[in-house]
Amino acid sequence: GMSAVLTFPLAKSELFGDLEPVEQDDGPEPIVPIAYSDHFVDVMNYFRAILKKSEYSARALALTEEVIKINPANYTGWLFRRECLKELKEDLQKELEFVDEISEVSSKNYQLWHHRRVIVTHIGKVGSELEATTKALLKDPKNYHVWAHRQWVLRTFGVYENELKFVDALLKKDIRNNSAWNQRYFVVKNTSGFTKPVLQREIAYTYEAIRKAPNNLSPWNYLRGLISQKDFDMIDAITKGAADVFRSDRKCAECLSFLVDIALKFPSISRLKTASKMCHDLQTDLCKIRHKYWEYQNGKVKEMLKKLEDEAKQTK
Amino acid sequence: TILPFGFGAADIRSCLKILGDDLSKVDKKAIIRSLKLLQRENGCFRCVTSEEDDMRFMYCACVISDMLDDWTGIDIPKAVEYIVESQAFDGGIGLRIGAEGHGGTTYCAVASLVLMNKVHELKDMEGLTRWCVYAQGKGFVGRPNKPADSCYSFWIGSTMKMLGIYHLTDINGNREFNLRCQTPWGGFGKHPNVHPDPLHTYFGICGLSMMGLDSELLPIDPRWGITLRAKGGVENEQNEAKSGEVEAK
Repeated sequence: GMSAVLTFPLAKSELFGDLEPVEQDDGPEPIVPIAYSDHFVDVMNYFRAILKKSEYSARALALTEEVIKINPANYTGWLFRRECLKELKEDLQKELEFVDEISEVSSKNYQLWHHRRVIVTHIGKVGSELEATTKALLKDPKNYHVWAHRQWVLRTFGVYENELKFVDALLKKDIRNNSAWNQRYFVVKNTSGFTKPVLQREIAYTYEAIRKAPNNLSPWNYLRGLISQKDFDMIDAITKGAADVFRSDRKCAECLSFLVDIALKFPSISRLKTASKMCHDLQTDLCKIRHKYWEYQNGKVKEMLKKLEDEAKQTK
Repeated sequence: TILPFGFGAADIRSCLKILGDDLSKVDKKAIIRSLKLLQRENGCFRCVTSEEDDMRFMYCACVISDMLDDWTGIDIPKAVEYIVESQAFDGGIGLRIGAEGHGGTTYCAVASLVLMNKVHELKDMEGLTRWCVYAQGKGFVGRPNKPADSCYSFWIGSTMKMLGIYHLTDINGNREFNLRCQTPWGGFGKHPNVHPDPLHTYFGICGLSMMGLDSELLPIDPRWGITLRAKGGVENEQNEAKSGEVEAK
């Protein structure tokens, strides 16, 4: 399509000479009125005029670009832009370049990534979506919007082949990147599933990461994800890993916390007795900031321990 | 014209309540009818029929239904199923199924379940409890290994209030952090020593209110994120101020 060139102020431009600008109606006595710049008022006055006419034209498309630039979160701007792109049958690959441009200044933006998703859906091919999200994540490794978009790309186009490698690369940069750990779970779940050999591999991988930074919550949570798989029965493997960590650092609160969770999930009298001692140590010494939680956990441990001991007595 | 629905409807209704309006001039039936159009097959809600669906709009739909006391616009079992599926392996709840557990979306999910009376449907309540407790160092974080941010004292604090586990928080540490987020210009920023903004000011104060240590702060309803006074209408202000803790249904 032909692109229109805007000159500012629009109020003085020939291109919009036929249009009556529509001012924002804040009512007779606005409370806390925003101090908009003249440029902002000028652009939005003409955008409102275009909206009123539902005009999907080259000048409207050009105007949405400016609307988005002055407020990248303006969802009406993005939505109307899509209507123009559709009507004018614009080049959607070029549109992705526009999204890249805005992403440089506004990547923590729901509207931008949703726009990108709609454009890519219309293109119907994965194109360079992995590259674009990789680039964004290397700059901002925890950007929630980018991760959400990347998950959509993976699910939609089934391009999981290199994702574990990508996750691994991010974890090498920052072993504490919780988004990357979440992505790991997402990939395994949507590819091989948590089969026994995969579980073995993941347990080993996770304890390797824990060795590097034992008080890092993310891998311990990942282990919790592993033990919650249906019919999980590799209790010895998972407990051995934790015991190794405990041997090298008896004050590792995360390790004890996890062992308490294991005892509650796979209860035995001996595990629960040890867990109760661990709760006490966590409460009084190793993790005092959460002492109420450890009291709560210990309550559950003791209740379960009593239940098992009563059952054992009855069977005698 | 294009009418953005989700946030707008919920925010407008909240504002009307805060200003003491009784919502009698609101076309309730039209709004409830719109909710039906906005719910997807997967149970989640869009903000506009053509737009994205996620946990934010699930919450908007539930709060709207609760405010208007009309749940006929929502397929509750489907909505609940979506929320339950969105709980992550670490116990937190994400923006969508598969997404990372996050303080804001966990609030949206739990508040929605509480409003629908379906909190018991969650598969991993112990995980959610742990996730919430671990979100607090002094202040609260939105995700593990991220810096504390004053607004999460509301998002996660409210979640814990609604779940009946608020007593597991370190109230003094929480309060100390929020107060350090106050700025010389007034208001609260997300961290200490950053500029204030309305969002962190609003939620920082809501967070402080829930702690119950500042008597000049009115009690709030964690499900709606507004004061009990606003919820009840201005006339009920005196009665509401006497009631203390909010009971989740």
